[in-house]
Amino acid sequence: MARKGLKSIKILLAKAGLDGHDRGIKVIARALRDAGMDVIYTGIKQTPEGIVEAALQEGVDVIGISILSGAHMTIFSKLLKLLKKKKLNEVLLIGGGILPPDDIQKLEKMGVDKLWGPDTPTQEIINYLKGRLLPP
Amino acid sequence: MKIWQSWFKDALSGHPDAISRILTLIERGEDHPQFFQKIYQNDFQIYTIALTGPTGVGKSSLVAHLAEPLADYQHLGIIAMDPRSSISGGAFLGDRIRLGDKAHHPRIFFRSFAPKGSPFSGYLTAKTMARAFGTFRFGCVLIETLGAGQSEWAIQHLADTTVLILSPESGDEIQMMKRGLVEWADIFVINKADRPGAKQLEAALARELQNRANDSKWKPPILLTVATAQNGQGVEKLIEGIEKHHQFLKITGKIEENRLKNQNLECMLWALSMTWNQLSKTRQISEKKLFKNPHQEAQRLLKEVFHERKK
Repeated sequence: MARKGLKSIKILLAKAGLDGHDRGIKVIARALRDAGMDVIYTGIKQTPEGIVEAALQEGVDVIGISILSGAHMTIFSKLLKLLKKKKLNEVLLIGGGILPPDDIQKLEKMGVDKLWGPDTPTQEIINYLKGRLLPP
Repeated sequence: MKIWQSWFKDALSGHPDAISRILTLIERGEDHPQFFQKIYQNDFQIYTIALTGPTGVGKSSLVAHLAEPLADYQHLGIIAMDPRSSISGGAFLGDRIRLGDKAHHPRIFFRSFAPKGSPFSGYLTAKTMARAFGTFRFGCVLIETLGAGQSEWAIQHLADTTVLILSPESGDEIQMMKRGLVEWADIFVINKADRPGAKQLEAALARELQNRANDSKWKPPILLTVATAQNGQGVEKLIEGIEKHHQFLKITGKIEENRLKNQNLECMLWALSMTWNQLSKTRQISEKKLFKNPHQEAQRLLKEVFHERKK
């Protein structure tokens, strides 16, 4: 259950696990900021525990993960579990990176809200989040 | 019953998710009178420290090194502000990243925000969050302000102890002679002190502080630090300075005296903020009408606002 009818969106962006490639996530950070969102960037090599704790303290509506390392199945499952444990059920989990279509399908079934592959236009992500969280 | 009433109950028993929800309401401008009654219900006048200074001098990096020692024996709330774009309305909150692994300390609660709405909302939001931390029985609050310089006089009334962070690039003797932050900070820090110019800046600052009014027995220390992601050289001196100032405030009774002043300003700023919000509702700044006499127009607007409020 996402938070609906918000006035503005606060999002936490993080790189999880052993993955230091942060060019992409910074592009996203700039795009979301310029689309009027509050963007917190936690940096590279974050643990799922650390990411969920940060999301809790910051009161964000969305967590966005960038993964290029291939560990997405493990990381996203852990994140989903932790979100449930911390009672952050209304926080949306989204992500992007090198993700095979089959895995995207599996993860979205498990509860990840939305995932994107390479070459996604930033506007697509912006539109999705706005449509999902802001009043029409 | 408002949903936040149950959150207050949970927050008072220390549930972090409930504390977070309350902070979010403050951040998003909740203005229900009962909400504020709850915030202030047992405001234990928490000891607050403000870290301020120009942008890029290393405020966040210093916060990261202060956090652990301060949270050693008490719960520490950290409030970090960053600017909001006046063009897109968005913000990039880049203070938390400096905290690194210390963010997972069991007694540290870190919240970043970008002020929105009236020009006073940064002050008011930080202040209200600090009071909420007090109500939720935290022991200390650290506020990292927006990058600040010559005109942010309100910051001196934000916290009990104000630390001004500068770097060798912050300016020469002439800059230090200008008034503003330099006038009223309780502790001075020259960060990035391994860079050329640190000693000169220290000397220039010392000259200024010599002339500072002698009505207070507090002699503001000037401390040199080098805070990087890995090391916090000189930070133990800063902790010591903060503790000394806290003691000084308590022994001299200044802490109460200052809080009275601070609270008066807090009320004023709330009033101004409410007026601002009311005015923004009735009139857009970008209205395409040229006034011959903006001063007169302002008086008319004010009358209109207060008249409407009475109704």
